[in-house]
Amino acid sequence: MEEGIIVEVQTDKDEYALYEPVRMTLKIWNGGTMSVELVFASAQRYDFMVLKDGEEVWRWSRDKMFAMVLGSLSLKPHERRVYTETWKASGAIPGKYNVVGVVTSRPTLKATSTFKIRSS
Amino acid sequence: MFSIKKSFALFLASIFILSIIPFVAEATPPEKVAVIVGFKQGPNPQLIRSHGGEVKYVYRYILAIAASLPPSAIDALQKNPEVAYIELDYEVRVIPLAKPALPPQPAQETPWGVSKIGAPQVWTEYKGTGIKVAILDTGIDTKHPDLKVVGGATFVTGTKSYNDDNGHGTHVAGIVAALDNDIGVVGVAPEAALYAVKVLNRQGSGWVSDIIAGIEWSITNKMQVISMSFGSTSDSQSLHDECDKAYSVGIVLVAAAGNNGPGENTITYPAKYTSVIAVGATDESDVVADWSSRGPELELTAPGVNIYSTYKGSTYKTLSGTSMACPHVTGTVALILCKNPSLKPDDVRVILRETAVDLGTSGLYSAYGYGRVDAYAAVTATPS
Repeated sequence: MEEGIIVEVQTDKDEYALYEPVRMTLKIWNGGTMSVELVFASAQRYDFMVLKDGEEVWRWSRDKMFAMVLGSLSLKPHERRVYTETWKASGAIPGKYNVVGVVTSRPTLKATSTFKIRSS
Repeated sequence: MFSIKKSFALFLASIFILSIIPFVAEATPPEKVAVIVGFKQGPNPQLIRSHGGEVKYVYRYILAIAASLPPSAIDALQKNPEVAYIELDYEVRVIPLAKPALPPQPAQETPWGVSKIGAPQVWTEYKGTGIKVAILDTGIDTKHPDLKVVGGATFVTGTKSYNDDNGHGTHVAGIVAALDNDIGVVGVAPEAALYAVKVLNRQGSGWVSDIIAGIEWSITNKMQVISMSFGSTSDSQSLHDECDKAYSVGIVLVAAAGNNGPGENTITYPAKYTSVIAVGATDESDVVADWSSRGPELELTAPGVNIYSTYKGSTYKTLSGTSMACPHVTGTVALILCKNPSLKPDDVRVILRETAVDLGTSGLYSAYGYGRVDAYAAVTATPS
């Protein structure tokens, strides 16, 4: 079903100063030649998670609720969707982080990227 | 061009009428008239001034001048060979868009879910009249001809009204209380008082903080039932406390169990809180949907597959989800309270549980709860 679907997650920088907000972008692109329909269990279409040493330190959806209605997203060949959110990183400690972008379809589609928070 | 000439003729006629009233003519010198003068060659501001006119703009890209002219000059200028036309300069106002024509309204039908739970048999005596139901959702289409929204509030940043910009809330509201008229659909409690409490945005998602504010509004405004067709896998202490508070003041809270089945322990919050009735989704054959969330907190099931109801833009739509199951129970609660408004939430829950159609064997409580809601049996069992 997800044949040809490409999921990418990126942060706007590779390295951030301490407490600098981290802007992250999730791209979902139909790189195939057929239209693809993704199905969703709720109004949620995506999520972002920030992990340090495998522990989740932030998740975009954590303080949100979603309408419990089934839905779908249809992508024609070469069609894309882009979702952007910002982690304020106000309590972050320096170090290496992983960011996971999730398309919350059934099954979910994920992509991972890394970034660094400097000590100063 | 014809209409311009015509309106200009009318305008001249009105000048003429004014001019035959000597008192008016004497008391106030004729006012200058805002016009746009078109020229055949180059715009000639001097010509305008020589007729007592004031030039406002000499346009660059059209051969025309905007000016104010004494009415007497208009006639003279129109005869001038340099002048191509004179038209009145209209004040352009933001014209409210013509109301879109009301989409054709289908004849009323009773959706399968409303029939399934036996609501029509209750209507001979109770229709939920005046029971205050808060729909915490994306708002409700306030102009929908098949819904009557009594009031509400919005807590979504950037919105000024509780009108529905998504459609989900209108769908939920219609399941609870679409009007019993000639059009569209009819809800479980067609005379319940619907309040639109907008806590979810255009995308159908909402901040927990806004949802808490919506429950606070519901307590302040003495709602009797709160319907919450949303959920999250994340627990929130503040939302939990707020639900408990609403319950303690006597409000019945109903929520979608979640669409995260068929795995066990998949009930979402706020349905998972003990103060909230968790509702799963069944189909027309009374079989639980595989995506309906399971768990020990599941209290009831209700129709939630292929549910036809009202939608934004005065339309109708078929949707599936525990979002659709929840309002079937909400409407049933309104019918129960209509018969006996003094019941406490605990009493209402006992009635709902004991009268539900037991669908699962004992081992299936996590998928069906106490069974599929039965409005007729519930209202019959309600002490008056």
